[in-house]
Amino acid sequence: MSSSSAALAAPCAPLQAGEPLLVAKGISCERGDKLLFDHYDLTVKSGEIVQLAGPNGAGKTTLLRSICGMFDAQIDHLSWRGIKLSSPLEYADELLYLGHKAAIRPHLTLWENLSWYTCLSQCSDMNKLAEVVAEVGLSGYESELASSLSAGQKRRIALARLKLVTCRMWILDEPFASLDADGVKMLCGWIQDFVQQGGSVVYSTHQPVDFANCDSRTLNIEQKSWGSDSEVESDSLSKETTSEGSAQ
Amino acid sequence: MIGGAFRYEFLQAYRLRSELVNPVVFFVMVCAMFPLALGSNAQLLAPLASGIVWVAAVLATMLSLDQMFRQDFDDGILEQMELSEVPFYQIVAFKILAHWCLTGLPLVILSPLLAMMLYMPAESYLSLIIGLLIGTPILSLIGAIGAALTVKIRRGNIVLALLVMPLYVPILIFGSTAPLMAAEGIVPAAQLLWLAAILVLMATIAPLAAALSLRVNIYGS
Repeated sequence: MSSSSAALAAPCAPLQAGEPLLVAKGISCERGDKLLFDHYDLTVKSGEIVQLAGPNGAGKTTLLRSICGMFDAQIDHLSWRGIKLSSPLEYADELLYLGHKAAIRPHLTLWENLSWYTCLSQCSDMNKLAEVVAEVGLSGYESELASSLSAGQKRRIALARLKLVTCRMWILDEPFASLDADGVKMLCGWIQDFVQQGGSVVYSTHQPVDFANCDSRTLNIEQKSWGSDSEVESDSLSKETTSEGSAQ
Repeated sequence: MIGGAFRYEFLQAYRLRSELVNPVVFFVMVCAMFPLALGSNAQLLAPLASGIVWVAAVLATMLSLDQMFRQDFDDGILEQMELSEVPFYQIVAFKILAHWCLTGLPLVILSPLLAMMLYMPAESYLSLIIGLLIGTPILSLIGAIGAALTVKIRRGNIVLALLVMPLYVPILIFGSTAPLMAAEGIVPAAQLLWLAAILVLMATIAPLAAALSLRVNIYGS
Protein backbone atom coordinates (compact mmCIF):
# COMPACT_ATOMS: atom_id res chain seq x y z
CA MET A 1 0.00 0.00 0.00
CA SER A 2 2.70 2.47 0.88
CA SER A 3 5.39 1.36 -1.56
CA SER A 4 3.88 2.68 -4.76
CA SER A 5 2.26 5.74 -3.20
CA ALA A 6 5.78 7.14 -2.97
CA ALA A 7 5.80 7.14 -6.76
CA LEU A 8 2.89 9.55 -6.83
CA ALA A 9 3.49 13.24 -7.19
CA ALA A 10 3.31 15.39 -4.10
CA PRO A 11 -0.36 15.66 -3.10
CA CYS A 12 -0.47 19.42 -3.40
CA ALA A 13 1.38 19.79 -6.70
CA PRO A 14 -0.40 22.03 -9.22
CA LEU A 15 -2.92 20.40 -11.50
CA GLN A 16 -2.86 20.17 -15.26
CA ALA A 17 -6.19 20.62 -16.99
CA GLY A 18 -7.62 17.87 -19.13
CA GLU A 19 -5.28 15.19 -17.88
CA PRO A 20 -7.08 11.91 -17.16
CA LEU A 21 -7.03 11.78 -13.40
CA LEU A 22 -8.73 8.54 -12.56
CA VAL A 23 -9.22 5.62 -14.90
CA ALA A 24 -11.04 2.66 -13.42
CA LYS A 25 -11.90 -0.14 -15.80
CA GLY A 26 -13.91 -3.22 -15.05
CA ILE A 27 -15.43 -2.25 -11.72
CA SER A 28 -17.48 -5.15 -10.42
CA CYS A 29 -19.21 -5.07 -7.10
CA GLU A 30 -21.73 -7.06 -5.23
CA ARG A 31 -23.83 -5.96 -2.30
CA GLY A 32 -25.40 -8.85 -0.47
CA ASP A 33 -26.32 -11.34 -3.18
CA LYS A 34 -26.95 -8.62 -5.73
CA LEU A 35 -24.57 -7.77 -8.50
CA LEU A 36 -24.60 -3.98 -8.71
CA PHE A 37 -21.92 -3.45 -11.35
CA ASP A 38 -20.40 -5.87 -13.79
CA HIS A 39 -17.26 -4.58 -15.50
CA TYR A 40 -18.25 -0.97 -15.35
CA ASP A 41 -15.79 1.63 -16.66
CA LEU A 42 -15.32 5.10 -15.23
CA THR A 43 -12.88 7.76 -16.36
CA VAL A 44 -12.59 11.13 -14.70
CA LYS A 45 -10.46 13.85 -16.26
CA SER A 46 -9.11 16.75 -14.28
CA GLY A 47 -11.35 19.78 -14.53
CA GLU A 48 -14.44 17.63 -14.97
CA ILE A 49 -17.67 17.31 -13.04
CA VAL A 50 -19.28 13.89 -13.11
CA GLN A 51 -22.76 13.53 -11.73
CA LEU A 52 -24.12 10.13 -10.86
CA ALA A 53 -27.86 9.90 -11.21
CA GLY A 54 -30.18 7.00 -10.72
CA PRO A 55 -32.94 5.62 -8.53
CA ASN A 56 -32.46 4.65 -4.90
CA GLY A 57 -30.57 1.41 -4.60
CA ALA A 58 -29.01 1.64 -8.05
CA GLY A 59 -25.54 1.69 -6.55
CA LYS A 60 -24.44 5.33 -6.61
CA THR A 61 -23.02 5.26 -3.11
CA THR A 62 -21.40 1.89 -3.73
CA LEU A 63 -19.70 3.18 -6.86
CA LEU A 64 -18.45 6.28 -5.05
CA ARG A 65 -17.17 4.20 -2.17
CA SER A 66 -15.53 1.76 -4.56
CA ILE A 67 -13.45 4.38 -6.28
CA CYS A 68 -12.16 5.77 -3.02
CA GLY A 69 -11.37 2.37 -1.57
CA MET A 70 -14.15 2.20 0.98
CA PHE A 71 -15.91 -0.73 -0.61
CA ASP A 72 -14.42 -4.06 -1.47
CA ALA A 73 -15.05 -3.92 -5.21
CA GLN A 74 -13.04 -5.67 -7.84
CA ILE A 75 -11.38 -3.25 -10.25
CA ASP A 76 -9.51 -4.81 -13.18
CA HIS A 77 -7.50 -1.78 -14.19
CA LEU A 78 -6.93 1.25 -12.03
CA SER A 79 -4.73 4.20 -12.73
CA TRP A 80 -4.34 7.59 -11.11
CA ARG A 81 -2.64 10.32 -13.17
CA GLY A 82 -1.36 7.64 -15.52
CA ILE A 83 0.26 5.53 -12.82
CA LYS A 84 -1.15 2.04 -12.54
CA LEU A 85 -2.17 1.17 -9.02
CA SER A 86 -3.56 -1.89 -7.33
CA SER A 87 -5.80 -0.28 -4.74
CA PRO A 88 -7.73 3.00 -4.50
CA LEU A 89 -6.26 3.46 -1.03
CA GLU A 90 -2.96 4.39 -2.68
CA TYR A 91 -4.35 7.68 -3.91
CA ALA A 92 -6.70 8.21 -0.98
CA ASP A 93 -4.51 11.10 0.21
CA GLU A 94 -5.34 13.06 -2.90
CA LEU A 95 -9.09 12.84 -2.72
CA LEU A 96 -11.69 14.03 -0.33
CA TYR A 97 -14.69 11.84 0.36
CA LEU A 98 -17.84 13.23 1.89
CA GLY A 99 -20.32 10.48 2.59
CA HIS A 100 -23.76 10.14 4.12
CA LYS A 101 -22.12 10.02 7.50
CA ALA A 102 -21.01 13.57 8.21
CA ALA A 103 -17.97 12.50 10.29
CA ILE A 104 -18.71 15.04 12.98
CA ARG A 105 -17.97 14.32 16.60
CA PRO A 106 -21.08 15.34 18.50
CA HIS A 107 -19.23 16.01 21.74
CA LEU A 108 -16.69 18.38 20.26
CA THR A 109 -17.43 21.95 19.31
CA LEU A 110 -17.58 23.14 15.73
CA TRP A 111 -14.10 24.62 16.03
CA GLU A 112 -12.65 21.47 17.59
CA ASN A 113 -14.25 19.34 14.91
CA LEU A 114 -12.60 21.31 12.15
CA SER A 115 -9.22 21.57 13.83
CA TRP A 116 -9.31 17.84 14.49
CA TYR A 117 -9.90 17.34 10.80
CA THR A 118 -7.00 19.58 9.82
CA CYS A 119 -4.76 17.45 12.05
CA LEU A 120 -5.46 14.47 9.82
CA SER A 121 -4.20 16.07 6.66
CA GLN A 122 -0.81 17.51 5.81
CA CYS A 123 -2.19 19.75 3.11
CA SER A 124 -4.71 21.53 5.26
CA ASP A 125 -4.28 25.08 6.34
CA MET A 126 -4.97 25.77 9.99
CA ASN A 127 -4.92 29.56 9.50
CA LYS A 128 -7.81 29.38 7.08
CA LEU A 129 -10.11 27.99 9.73
CA ALA A 130 -11.80 31.22 10.80
CA GLU A 131 -12.20 32.31 7.20
CA VAL A 132 -13.83 29.03 6.22
CA VAL A 133 -16.18 29.03 9.20
CA ALA A 134 -17.39 32.47 8.12
CA GLU A 135 -17.72 31.30 4.55
CA VAL A 136 -20.02 28.40 5.45
CA GLY A 137 -22.12 30.85 7.45
CA LEU A 138 -21.41 29.43 10.88
CA SER A 139 -19.45 32.24 12.51
CA GLY A 140 -20.75 32.73 16.02
CA TYR A 141 -21.27 29.00 16.45
CA GLU A 142 -17.57 28.16 16.89
CA SER A 143 -17.85 27.08 20.50
CA GLU A 144 -21.21 25.33 20.20
CA LEU A 145 -21.17 21.56 20.62
CA ALA A 146 -21.80 19.90 17.28
CA SER A 147 -24.63 17.87 18.79
CA SER A 148 -26.59 21.05 19.42
CA LEU A 149 -26.48 22.17 15.79
CA SER A 150 -29.16 21.43 13.20
CA ALA A 151 -28.82 18.87 10.41
CA GLY A 152 -28.17 21.59 7.85
CA GLN A 153 -25.53 23.21 10.03
CA LYS A 154 -23.82 19.86 10.51
CA ARG A 155 -23.81 19.40 6.77
CA ARG A 156 -22.16 22.81 6.48
CA ILE A 157 -19.43 21.77 8.94
CA ALA A 158 -18.82 18.72 6.78
CA LEU A 159 -18.67 20.91 3.68
CA ALA A 160 -16.16 23.24 5.33
CA ARG A 161 -13.63 20.43 4.87
CA LEU A 162 -13.71 21.01 1.14
CA LYS A 163 -12.16 24.41 1.75
CA LEU A 164 -9.70 23.28 4.41
CA VAL A 165 -7.93 20.52 2.57
CA THR A 166 -6.01 20.73 -0.67
CA CYS A 167 -6.64 17.79 -2.94
CA ARG A 168 -7.31 16.79 -6.52
CA MET A 169 -10.69 15.17 -6.44
CA TRP A 170 -13.86 15.57 -4.44
CA ILE A 171 -16.12 12.59 -4.09
CA LEU A 172 -19.41 13.82 -2.73
CA ASP A 173 -22.29 11.55 -1.86
CA GLU A 174 -25.54 13.55 -1.90
CA PRO A 175 -23.81 16.79 -0.90
CA PHE A 176 -26.98 18.83 -1.28
CA ALA A 177 -28.96 16.83 1.27
CA SER A 178 -30.45 18.99 4.04
CA LEU A 179 -28.90 22.17 2.65
CA ASP A 180 -30.99 25.31 2.16
CA ALA A 181 -31.12 27.25 -1.12
CA ASP A 182 -28.19 29.45 -0.09
CA GLY A 183 -26.16 26.43 0.85
CA VAL A 184 -26.81 24.77 -2.50
CA LYS A 185 -25.73 27.94 -4.28
CA MET A 186 -22.58 28.19 -2.16
CA LEU A 187 -21.62 24.58 -2.82
CA CYS A 188 -22.25 24.93 -6.56
CA GLY A 189 -19.94 27.95 -6.57
CA TRP A 190 -17.27 26.02 -4.73
CA ILE A 191 -17.51 23.11 -7.14
CA GLN A 192 -17.15 25.47 -10.10
CA ASP A 193 -14.14 27.22 -8.57
CA PHE A 194 -12.51 23.91 -7.74
CA VAL A 195 -13.03 22.57 -11.24
CA GLN A 196 -11.72 25.74 -12.82
CA GLN A 197 -8.53 25.31 -10.81
CA GLY A 198 -8.14 21.86 -12.35
CA GLY A 199 -9.82 19.70 -9.73
CA SER A 200 -12.39 17.03 -10.48
CA VAL A 201 -15.68 16.35 -8.78
CA VAL A 202 -17.68 13.14 -8.76
CA TYR A 203 -20.97 13.47 -6.95
CA SER A 204 -24.35 11.90 -6.67
CA THR A 205 -27.59 13.76 -6.32
CA HIS A 206 -31.29 13.46 -6.95
CA GLN A 207 -31.89 17.11 -7.65
CA PRO A 208 -31.01 18.74 -10.95
CA VAL A 209 -28.04 21.08 -10.60
CA ASP A 210 -26.79 23.22 -13.43
CA PHE A 211 -23.13 24.07 -13.73
CA ALA A 212 -22.71 26.78 -16.31
CA ASN A 213 -19.34 27.14 -18.03
CA CYS A 214 -18.10 23.84 -16.71
CA ASP A 215 -17.26 20.54 -18.29
CA SER A 216 -19.93 18.40 -16.72
CA ARG A 217 -21.61 15.15 -17.60
CA THR A 218 -24.19 12.89 -16.08
CA LEU A 219 -23.92 9.14 -15.70
CA ASN A 220 -27.27 7.46 -15.37
CA ILE A 221 -27.02 4.35 -13.33
CA GLU A 222 -30.04 2.21 -13.93
CA GLN A 223 -31.47 -0.16 -11.47
CA LYS A 224 -31.07 -3.72 -12.58
CA SER A 225 -33.79 -6.28 -12.15
CA TRP A 226 -32.28 -8.63 -9.66
CA GLY A 227 -32.22 -12.32 -10.28
CA SER A 228 -30.55 -15.03 -12.26
CA ASP A 229 -30.62 -13.10 -15.54
CA SER A 230 -28.54 -10.23 -14.18
CA GLU A 231 -25.59 -11.05 -16.40
CA VAL A 232 -27.69 -10.70 -19.53
CA GLU A 233 -28.62 -7.18 -18.60
CA SER A 234 -25.15 -5.93 -17.84
CA ASP A 235 -24.81 -4.25 -21.22
CA SER A 236 -27.67 -1.91 -20.55
CA LEU A 237 -26.26 -1.05 -17.16
CA SER A 238 -25.45 2.51 -17.84
CA LYS A 239 -25.76 5.08 -20.49
CA GLU A 240 -23.78 8.23 -20.63
CA THR A 241 -25.16 11.61 -21.46
CA THR A 242 -22.67 14.36 -22.02
CA SER A 243 -23.65 17.95 -21.67
CA GLU A 244 -20.83 20.28 -22.44
CA GLY A 245 -21.44 23.67 -20.88
CA SER A 246 -20.97 26.76 -22.99
CA ALA A 247 -17.24 27.06 -22.47
CA GLN A 248 -15.83 30.49 -22.65
CA MET B 1 -0.03 16.40 13.39
CA ILE B 2 -0.86 13.02 14.82
CA GLY B 3 -0.28 14.34 18.32
CA GLY B 4 -2.92 16.93 17.62
CA ALA B 5 -5.38 14.26 16.51
CA PHE B 6 -4.62 12.39 19.73
CA ARG B 7 -5.55 15.44 21.79
CA TYR B 8 -9.08 15.34 20.42
CA GLU B 9 -9.50 11.71 21.46
CA PHE B 10 -8.89 12.85 25.03
CA LEU B 11 -11.10 15.86 24.68
CA GLN B 12 -13.97 13.73 23.42
CA ALA B 13 -13.48 11.25 26.24
CA TYR B 14 -13.39 14.10 28.75
CA ARG B 15 -16.72 15.43 27.47
CA LEU B 16 -18.15 11.94 27.95
CA ARG B 17 -16.70 11.63 31.44
CA SER B 18 -19.90 10.24 32.94
CA GLU B 19 -19.43 7.15 30.77
CA LEU B 20 -15.78 7.15 31.64
CA VAL B 21 -16.43 6.89 35.36
CA ASN B 22 -18.64 3.82 34.94
CA PRO B 23 -15.87 1.17 34.74
CA VAL B 24 -14.02 2.75 37.65
CA VAL B 25 -17.14 2.78 39.83
CA PHE B 26 -17.81 -0.80 38.79
CA PHE B 27 -14.27 -1.77 39.78
CA VAL B 28 -14.60 -0.20 43.23
CA MET B 29 -18.05 -1.69 43.80
CA VAL B 30 -17.07 -5.25 42.93
CA CYS B 31 -14.04 -5.09 45.21
CA ALA B 32 -16.12 -3.61 48.00
CA MET B 33 -18.72 -6.37 47.79
CA PHE B 34 -16.33 -9.17 48.71
CA PRO B 35 -15.69 -8.03 52.28
CA LEU B 36 -19.43 -7.49 52.62
CA ALA B 37 -20.23 -10.99 51.43
CA LEU B 38 -17.35 -12.90 53.00
CA GLY B 39 -17.03 -10.92 56.20
CA SER B 40 -14.28 -8.54 57.14
CA ASN B 41 -11.87 -11.32 58.05
CA ALA B 42 -8.21 -10.57 57.35
CA GLN B 43 -7.18 -14.22 57.28
CA LEU B 44 -9.84 -15.12 54.75
CA LEU B 45 -9.49 -12.05 52.52
CA ALA B 46 -5.71 -11.59 52.38
CA PRO B 47 -5.00 -14.59 50.12
CA LEU B 48 -7.95 -13.65 47.88
CA ALA B 49 -7.12 -9.96 47.56
CA SER B 50 -5.01 -10.03 44.40
CA GLY B 51 -7.44 -12.37 42.65
CA ILE B 52 -10.40 -10.16 43.51
CA VAL B 53 -8.68 -6.98 42.34
CA TRP B 54 -7.59 -8.61 39.08
CA VAL B 55 -10.99 -10.14 38.28
CA ALA B 56 -12.64 -6.80 38.97
CA ALA B 57 -10.10 -5.02 36.75
CA VAL B 58 -10.70 -7.46 33.89
CA LEU B 59 -14.48 -7.13 34.16
CA ALA B 60 -14.30 -3.34 34.41
CA THR B 61 -12.13 -3.16 31.29
CA MET B 62 -14.52 -5.43 29.43
CA LEU B 63 -17.39 -3.15 30.35
CA SER B 64 -15.69 -0.24 28.61
CA LEU B 65 -14.53 -2.06 25.47
CA ASP B 66 -17.79 -1.85 23.56
CA GLN B 67 -17.55 1.92 23.34
CA MET B 68 -13.97 2.02 22.10
CA PHE B 69 -14.80 2.38 18.39
CA ARG B 70 -18.59 2.30 18.17
CA GLN B 71 -19.42 6.00 18.28
CA ASP B 72 -16.66 6.88 15.82
CA PHE B 73 -17.74 4.11 13.49
CA ASP B 74 -21.38 5.19 13.52
CA ASP B 75 -20.50 8.85 12.92
CA GLY B 76 -18.21 8.07 9.98
CA ILE B 77 -15.14 9.36 11.84
CA LEU B 78 -13.26 6.13 11.20
CA GLU B 79 -13.97 6.39 7.47
CA GLN B 80 -12.32 9.79 7.35
CA MET B 81 -9.43 8.55 9.48
CA GLU B 82 -8.86 5.65 7.13
CA LEU B 83 -8.80 7.96 4.10
CA SER B 84 -6.44 10.40 5.77
CA GLU B 85 -2.71 10.56 5.27
CA VAL B 86 -1.95 9.29 8.75
CA PRO B 87 -1.54 5.48 8.64
CA PHE B 88 -4.73 3.96 10.00
CA TYR B 89 -3.03 1.59 12.44
CA GLN B 90 -1.30 4.54 14.09
CA ILE B 91 -4.62 6.22 14.71
CA VAL B 92 -5.99 2.97 16.09
CA ALA B 93 -2.93 2.64 18.33
CA PHE B 94 -3.56 6.14 19.67
CA LYS B 95 -7.20 5.34 20.28
CA ILE B 96 -6.14 2.27 22.27
CA LEU B 97 -3.65 4.36 24.24
CA ALA B 98 -6.35 6.92 24.99
CA HIS B 99 -8.67 4.12 26.10
CA TRP B 100 -6.05 2.78 28.48
CA CYS B 101 -5.20 6.19 29.92
CA LEU B 102 -8.86 6.83 30.64
CA THR B 103 -9.97 3.41 31.90
CA GLY B 104 -6.90 1.28 32.70
CA LEU B 105 -4.81 3.88 34.43
CA PRO B 106 -7.50 4.90 36.98
CA LEU B 107 -7.82 1.22 37.91
CA VAL B 108 -4.07 1.00 38.55
CA ILE B 109 -4.18 4.15 40.66
CA LEU B 110 -7.12 2.95 42.73
CA SER B 111 -5.86 -0.61 43.21
CA PRO B 112 -3.67 -0.02 46.33
CA LEU B 113 -6.67 1.47 48.11
CA LEU B 114 -8.81 -1.54 47.32
CA ALA B 115 -5.99 -3.93 48.17
CA MET B 116 -5.79 -2.29 51.57
CA MET B 117 -9.51 -2.83 52.05
CA LEU B 118 -8.98 -6.50 51.26
CA TYR B 119 -6.11 -6.84 53.77
CA MET B 120 -3.46 -7.51 51.17
CA PRO B 121 -0.05 -8.12 52.81
CA ALA B 122 2.34 -5.19 52.46
CA GLU B 123 4.92 -7.17 50.45
CA SER B 124 2.39 -7.77 47.67
CA TYR B 125 1.53 -4.15 46.85
CA LEU B 126 4.42 -3.45 44.54
CA SER B 127 3.88 -6.56 42.43
CA LEU B 128 0.13 -5.88 42.24
CA ILE B 129 0.71 -2.35 40.99
CA ILE B 130 3.46 -3.31 38.54
CA GLY B 131 1.35 -6.25 37.35
CA LEU B 132 -1.65 -4.02 36.72
CA LEU B 133 0.51 -1.37 35.11
CA ILE B 134 1.77 -3.93 32.59
CA GLY B 135 -1.44 -5.95 32.46
CA THR B 136 -4.16 -3.34 31.90
CA PRO B 137 -2.64 -2.07 28.62
CA ILE B 138 -2.71 -5.69 27.41
CA LEU B 139 -6.40 -5.83 28.32
CA SER B 140 -7.03 -2.69 26.25
CA LEU B 141 -4.97 -3.98 23.33
CA ILE B 142 -6.61 -7.40 23.14
CA GLY B 143 -9.98 -5.82 23.77
CA ALA B 144 -9.44 -3.44 20.86
CA ILE B 145 -9.28 -6.38 18.44
CA GLY B 146 -12.56 -7.71 19.83
CA ALA B 147 -14.17 -4.27 19.80
CA ALA B 148 -13.05 -3.71 16.20
CA LEU B 149 -14.47 -7.06 15.07
CA THR B 150 -17.84 -6.48 16.71
CA VAL B 151 -18.18 -2.77 15.93
CA LYS B 152 -21.08 -3.39 13.56
CA ILE B 153 -23.01 -5.71 15.83
CA ARG B 154 -25.71 -3.99 17.87
CA ARG B 155 -25.68 -5.25 21.43
CA GLY B 156 -22.39 -6.95 20.67
CA ASN B 157 -21.39 -7.00 24.33
CA ILE B 158 -21.86 -10.72 24.85
CA VAL B 159 -20.10 -11.69 21.63
CA LEU B 160 -17.29 -9.35 22.57
CA ALA B 161 -16.99 -10.93 26.02
CA LEU B 162 -16.95 -14.42 24.51
CA LEU B 163 -14.24 -13.39 22.06
CA VAL B 164 -12.02 -11.61 24.51
CA MET B 165 -12.45 -13.54 27.76
CA PRO B 166 -10.39 -16.61 26.79
CA LEU B 167 -7.55 -14.32 25.70
CA TYR B 168 -7.64 -12.55 29.06
CA VAL B 169 -7.10 -15.79 30.99
CA PRO B 170 -3.26 -15.91 30.78
CA ILE B 171 -3.01 -12.28 31.87
CA LEU B 172 -5.36 -12.95 34.75
CA ILE B 173 -3.28 -15.96 35.84
CA PHE B 174 0.10 -14.23 35.64
CA GLY B 175 -1.22 -11.02 37.16
CA SER B 176 -3.02 -12.49 40.13
CA THR B 177 -0.32 -15.00 41.10
CA ALA B 178 2.47 -12.40 41.20
CA PRO B 179 1.27 -10.77 44.47
CA LEU B 180 0.79 -14.23 46.02
CA MET B 181 4.39 -15.12 45.24
CA ALA B 182 5.55 -11.81 46.64
CA ALA B 183 3.61 -12.49 49.86
CA GLU B 184 5.65 -15.67 50.32
CA GLY B 185 8.86 -13.71 49.88
CA ILE B 186 9.64 -14.85 46.33
CA VAL B 187 10.35 -12.20 43.70
CA PRO B 188 7.62 -12.72 41.05
CA ALA B 189 10.01 -11.93 38.19
CA ALA B 190 8.75 -14.78 35.98
CA GLN B 191 5.11 -13.62 36.07
CA LEU B 192 5.91 -9.99 35.50
CA LEU B 193 8.38 -10.73 32.71
CA TRP B 194 5.80 -12.92 31.00
CA LEU B 195 3.30 -10.09 31.26
CA ALA B 196 5.85 -7.68 29.81
CA ALA B 197 6.55 -10.08 26.94
CA ILE B 198 2.84 -10.36 26.18
CA LEU B 199 2.56 -6.56 26.30
CA VAL B 200 5.34 -6.16 23.73
CA LEU B 201 3.75 -8.79 21.50
CA MET B 202 0.27 -7.28 21.72
CA ALA B 203 1.49 -3.70 21.31
CA THR B 204 3.02 -4.84 18.03
CA ILE B 205 0.16 -6.93 16.72
CA ALA B 206 -3.05 -5.54 18.19
CA PRO B 207 -3.16 -2.09 16.49
CA LEU B 208 -2.58 -3.73 13.10
CA ALA B 209 -5.17 -6.43 13.76
CA ALA B 210 -7.72 -3.93 15.06
CA ALA B 211 -7.11 -1.61 12.10
CA LEU B 212 -7.62 -4.49 9.68
CA SER B 213 -10.85 -5.59 11.37
CA LEU B 214 -12.15 -2.03 11.34
CA ARG B 215 -11.30 -1.74 7.66
CA VAL B 216 -13.27 -4.90 6.90
CA ASN B 217 -16.24 -3.41 8.74
CA ILE B 218 -15.90 -0.08 6.90
CA TYR B 219 -15.81 -1.86 3.55
CA GLY B 220 -19.01 -3.65 4.27
CA SER B 221 -20.98 -0.67 5.47
